[in-house]
Amino acid sequence: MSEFESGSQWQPGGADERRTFKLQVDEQTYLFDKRLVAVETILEKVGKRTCEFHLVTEGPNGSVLEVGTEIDLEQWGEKKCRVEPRKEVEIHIDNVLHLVVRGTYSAAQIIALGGKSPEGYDLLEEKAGPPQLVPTNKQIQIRGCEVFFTQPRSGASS
Amino acid sequence: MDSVQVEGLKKYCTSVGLTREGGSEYFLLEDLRLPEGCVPQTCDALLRPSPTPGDGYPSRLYLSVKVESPFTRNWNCINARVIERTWFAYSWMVATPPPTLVELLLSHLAGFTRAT
Repeated sequence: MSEFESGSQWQPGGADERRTFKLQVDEQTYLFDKRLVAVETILEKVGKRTCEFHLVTEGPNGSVLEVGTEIDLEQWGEKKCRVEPRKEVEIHIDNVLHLVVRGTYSAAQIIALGGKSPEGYDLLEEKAGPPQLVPTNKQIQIRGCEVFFTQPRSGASS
Repeated sequence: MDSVQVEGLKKYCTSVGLTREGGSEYFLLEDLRLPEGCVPQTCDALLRPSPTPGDGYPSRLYLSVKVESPFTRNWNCINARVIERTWFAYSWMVATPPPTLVELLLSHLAGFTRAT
């Protein structure tokens, strides 16, 4: 029994009329089932996070396609995009978003970025589990998307 | 036992039990994950959230082994017997009790992540 005989209806321009739209990102072609696609959706499809990467138009002076904007893939045509690591990436400290330059930071620097005194707080990082204490002598690689918390210091060697 | 607080502790170990001995309450934390740089990376622990007579510490974290860490600690409690097991603890004072058990636990574990 065909789907039409079962009672479903085909409507021109409706959900059953599937169209796909192509976009080339970094030499790979991706298919989308909507004409208007958000930049963050494209990055997600490519397997990249907005906190670490930009979507950029092709060419040596490509411009950043801002998160929160939509691309009309029909009008986009054959133009290409590429993914670039952001110079300033997003991290969270105590649930507050911060933009920081990629690089290596000490725990004290991260605590200070969060507006707290490094002498008065311990730093914790949440990754694949509950927040864990960061040793004060650790050099932390910030690539983007890191999540930190601070906790007042209430313990000391006695 | 505040179930929300116990659920918080469970994220740091494989199981949480509550026991009483000598008038003090202890949370048994099995396979507690220790901070980076510790050897071993996990061990059993007893978290005592309140003072016990003669001890001098408002709270204490006992560990099933003497843990090695990048920061030297004074292990001034060796072979303490609680719930028929042997425990070790280092000299670390959490003078002002944090509001939650998790924060208390982390305050004690901070002894493995900084010098003082």
